[in-house]
Amino acid sequence: MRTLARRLTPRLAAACVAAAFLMVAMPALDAGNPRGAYYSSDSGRVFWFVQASDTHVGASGSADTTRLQWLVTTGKSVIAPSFIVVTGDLTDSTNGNLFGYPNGPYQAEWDTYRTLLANAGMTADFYYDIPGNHDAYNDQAFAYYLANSVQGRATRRTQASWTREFAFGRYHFLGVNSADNSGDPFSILWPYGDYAGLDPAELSFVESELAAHADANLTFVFGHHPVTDTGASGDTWLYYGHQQFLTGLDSARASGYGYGHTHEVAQSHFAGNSYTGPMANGGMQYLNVASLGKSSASQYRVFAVDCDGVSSVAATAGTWPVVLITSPVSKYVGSTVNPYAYTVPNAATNTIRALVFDTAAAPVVSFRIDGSATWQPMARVSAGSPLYGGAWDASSLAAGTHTIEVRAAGTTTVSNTVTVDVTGTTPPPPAADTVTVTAATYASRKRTLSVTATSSRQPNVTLTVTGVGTMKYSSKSRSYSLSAVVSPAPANVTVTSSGGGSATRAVTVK
Amino acid sequence: MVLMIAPLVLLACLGGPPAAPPGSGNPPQDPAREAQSEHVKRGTAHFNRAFYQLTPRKRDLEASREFDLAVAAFEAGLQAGPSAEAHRYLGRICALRGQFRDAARHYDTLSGLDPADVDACVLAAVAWADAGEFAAARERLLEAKGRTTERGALSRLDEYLAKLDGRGPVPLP
Repeated sequence: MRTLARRLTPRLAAACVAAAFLMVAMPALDAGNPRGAYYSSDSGRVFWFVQASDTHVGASGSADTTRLQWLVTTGKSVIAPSFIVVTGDLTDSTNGNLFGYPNGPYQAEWDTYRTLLANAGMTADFYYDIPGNHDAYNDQAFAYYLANSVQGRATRRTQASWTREFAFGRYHFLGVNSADNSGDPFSILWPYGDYAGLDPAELSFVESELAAHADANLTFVFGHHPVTDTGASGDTWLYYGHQQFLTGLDSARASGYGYGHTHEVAQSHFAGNSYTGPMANGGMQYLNVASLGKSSASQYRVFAVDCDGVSSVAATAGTWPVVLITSPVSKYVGSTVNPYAYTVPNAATNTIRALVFDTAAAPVVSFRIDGSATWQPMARVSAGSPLYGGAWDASSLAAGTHTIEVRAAGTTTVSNTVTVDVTGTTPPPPAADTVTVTAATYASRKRTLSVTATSSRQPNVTLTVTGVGTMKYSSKSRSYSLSAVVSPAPANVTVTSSGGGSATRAVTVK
Repeated sequence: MVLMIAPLVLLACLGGPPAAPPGSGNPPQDPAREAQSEHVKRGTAHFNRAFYQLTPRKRDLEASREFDLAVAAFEAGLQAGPSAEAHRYLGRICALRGQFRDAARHYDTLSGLDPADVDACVLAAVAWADAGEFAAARERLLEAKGRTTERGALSRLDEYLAKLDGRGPVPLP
């Protein structure tokens, strides 16, 4: 049996090297901008995704497979997320032994995991599974993860990086491998075979992916472990690479770090501490989701991005409805202040938006302010959409803090509440943006009209070519574009902006 | 530049192999031990191929042959005397093959060879429980408790004992 000192000394040395390496190598990044969140009546800038963790397929006495099955079938179908990320402990590594002592890996557990996901049609461009400590015991090379997980098979890597691109912007997501890379077996002695952390190669991947997506509107990072001490004696967290990791996330202005491992649910705004070092750029949402497969909580988390404001709610598998207010965003994350929350004007024409997911066809959705006895109606923003909107006359509200509660009465009745700061005066409407049509050409042979344009408020406005369609924003070219087959060739095109501006340009026929 | 320096720094931090004391020359070799070491090394190579390369790729027949070769090598190693490593691997292979009593016996021997190894006792307890020998499993857990004073470990061992006494998984909280 190796002594603890023998096990840790090389790792501490490696951590020193990692620190030395990355203090020199980690460049200043400038990616997402969580401070860019804004309050808007535009309901077309919303998307959502799901994080689950600790599925523990193979755990004795748990509902591991039924809950994962639910998530990737019913859950996926009702919520229709942009993607699902599962942050580790995909398998239990116990093969159902009585004590839950992880002495695997076991191919039988991975077979169950793999088959279940394949039957549900999970693919590598939708389902992002990263390893946790239970997937790392006795497996230094992550051979079982790489041969069986969705991402491992697709990428041959233990970390994942992906984006989602919309007309209103581009968003970057990173899944990091925080599990121990030693292949140590589980031990009942601290640190339980789980000397977690990020080694230089893993940090290098994080750094390069953040740099490659520096143009993203927002960046979200997921890992299995908490980055710092949770205060619970049985927990483990990042023991090496943590400072460099947090420096990287801080430089990239990551909006959030979602993790599992503890089997507890928690949310706060985290701006670093003496262990991780401070996050000088403002910090990030720090969101723990309880185990999907191995605790009675049976949780997953729904995240939403609405006009670059981030909100999330932890929900219980199989329980409907799920309600999440997406706009305005709360001034709190858990019990901590959210520095990226905006203020809300006391205007007569404010809007409230919330996602409501339910198997019931038509849940009744309403909102109230400050616990009022009067509930006001909300309606779907478009047919079939889970996004509901409500008109909110805030003109009579005093300046200061107010609560908004959205209630959905469907399969059961569930509420979600946010706290917002309402300003005392109605701000003047913003001046119209300046729209420039940078090119308008018509290819006669293909009968294709191509238009590119910019706005002084891009990417936070929608541009439309009148009579043709909505333009798509590219964060790479930093412009909007649209190509469409039209006939005959128009003499001019007019581009109008949701920000009020417009511009017209003659079409060059080729 | 950083990339070139980093491995050198790593080597400096980790230290190279320990230098032999001056004038010591090569230590005298015990031919039996040397042969045992070779057997264990070969057994480990077969195990690694079976467990990490073939099993995850569902090449079960080949894996089974490699496991057979690993078992033969480890058993040959044990002819030269006791080896904790050989018993650990044999315990693992037997458990993987569902031969829980044999696995438990190997873990018991391992546990006897290293009285400080708390986890060897627990591995034996797991195997005895898998074999349906709950009294033996209980005995090993109690023995493990006597080998540590770490609070977290003691608490976990108590959880295991509770599961054993409940004869089945403890209901979720």
